[in-house]
Amino acid sequence: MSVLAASHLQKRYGDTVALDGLNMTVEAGQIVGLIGPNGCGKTTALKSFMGLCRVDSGELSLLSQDPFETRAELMRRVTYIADVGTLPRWMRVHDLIDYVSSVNPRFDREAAMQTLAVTQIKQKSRISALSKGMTVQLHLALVLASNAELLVLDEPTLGLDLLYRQRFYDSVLNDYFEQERSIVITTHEVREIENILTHVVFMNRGKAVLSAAMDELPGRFSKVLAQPERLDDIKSLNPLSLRPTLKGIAAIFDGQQANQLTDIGEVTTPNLSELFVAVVGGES
Amino acid sequence: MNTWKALIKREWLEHRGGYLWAPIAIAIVIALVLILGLTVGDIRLADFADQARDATTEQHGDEVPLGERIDERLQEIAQDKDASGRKFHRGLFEVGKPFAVCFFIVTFFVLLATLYDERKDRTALFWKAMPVRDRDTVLSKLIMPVWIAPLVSVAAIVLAQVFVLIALSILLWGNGHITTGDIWWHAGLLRGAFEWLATFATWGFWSLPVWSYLLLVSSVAPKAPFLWAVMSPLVVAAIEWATFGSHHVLRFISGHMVTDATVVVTDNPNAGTSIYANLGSLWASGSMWFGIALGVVMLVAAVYFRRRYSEV
Repeated sequence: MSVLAASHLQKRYGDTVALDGLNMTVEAGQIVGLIGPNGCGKTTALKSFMGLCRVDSGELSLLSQDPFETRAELMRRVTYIADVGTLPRWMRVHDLIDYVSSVNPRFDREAAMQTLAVTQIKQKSRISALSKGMTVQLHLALVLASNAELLVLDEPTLGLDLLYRQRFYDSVLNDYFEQERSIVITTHEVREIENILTHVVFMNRGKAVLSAAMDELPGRFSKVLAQPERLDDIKSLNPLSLRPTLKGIAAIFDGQQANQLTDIGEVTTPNLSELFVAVVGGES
Repeated sequence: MNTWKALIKREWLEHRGGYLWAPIAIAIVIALVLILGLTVGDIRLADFADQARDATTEQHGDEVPLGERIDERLQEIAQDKDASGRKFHRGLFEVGKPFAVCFFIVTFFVLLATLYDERKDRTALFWKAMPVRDRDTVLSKLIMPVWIAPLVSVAAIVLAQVFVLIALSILLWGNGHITTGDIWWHAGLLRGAFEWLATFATWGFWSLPVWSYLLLVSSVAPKAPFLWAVMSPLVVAAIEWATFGSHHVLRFISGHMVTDATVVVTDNPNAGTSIYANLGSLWASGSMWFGIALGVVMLVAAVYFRRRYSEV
């Protein structure tokens, strides 16, 4: 049973098509990166997954339920961080913890307290008095203690410095992630999540243009560095993308046998950013 | 049950200034005015009456001196203590008026801001990541200011009434007709508290169309919810006037804001002596039930828009 199953999701806002037949699944134990350019429909996709809006058509189930209809029940098992700015600034830390532990029976108050104990965050502080980094730490402490089956992170480290970003993902991996849990992350900082993902979905213009497991990428995609005079050979093999570099031509291929390519130039595995530019950039 | 407690507490914390400190501030102002009157003004009736008697006798010789007139008046009051006591109790009810005005203002702005603010500062994304139904959230935002905050107002009203009674006791000390015991006995503080509780409770339902309308505006207004809230009914009323030459919309709105509920209770000379009878007549009116029905419809609409918050 999939944690999340979305097929042919359509969503329009007036004339704008936000989702145009999006297909996506998340299974238990996966960490899925949802990556796409601005305006590709990532946020709309996440909002529909979280039951914040209703899709126009298509099938969507989150833990086997319709997220729009049963958002309140689902939020016991699913948790969500939009970005650093969404905690109520007027509230005090202990009041916020009280609130969450009262409305969410799965929330582990002790765990949250332990996480916060090692930070600079004081129980009596107002959230408006916390720094950006501390606010994220607090949000993360609340989310990690809610023992959700699915954690959705929408640009969670926006506006944070490098140190906090690193700690953020370390906490997510060490304190949250285990066999039966899943994570969906969107971010612009592809490099920062590349090493923690198990699966990746590239989104463009409202649909998924690539869905793959991270460990199948090296076998499927290759990057070739070749001399400029091999241009015609490269073109004859239908590269995903082709761009000039200082040393010659860099081409990325989907599904070509490595031995065919080794004749042309030096073959390596593209990293996620290169792949993203090749797949999404080639489309537009 | 835990969820409801948490929702109510959340609302309380967010607008504690309006629910708690505003009525307390009014009670303090009333106390200060009374203290100023008794100290700076140095009014103690026994002294005042003596001084006044001397002064008026000197000036006007044959006229009945002011001090004696006050004395006579007190004697009259003392003759029929039950009837005077009832009037006194009713007069003391008026001490609650400034608190009622404060309640309306606070409730108006809290309801208008609550769903709008959480959209604008995006905290709605956090609240909606909690396992709480939109229906319950919106209801808690209505119930807290309209039916729970008045408990504080009533406590503050009783406090202010106690201040008034203390001041009166000092003022009338040793007048020879009305004893301090009379004052406190006929004040009927507990009765008064229940009358104000009943008034607020009824007012909450009487003004339900207004409250729900404010929540609805708060849930949809793209910006400037105050302008939307004020201008939309004016436009509808203007259209009604231009088309039919009538004023039903304006009359309904103004009738259901404050005036009817409090006027019927206190000022209406034709109303019975019992505040409960007046409130009962509100409950028996068609306008009450039409208003409640309208209020429920708008409340459902506010929940509808909160569910689709990201599309508004």
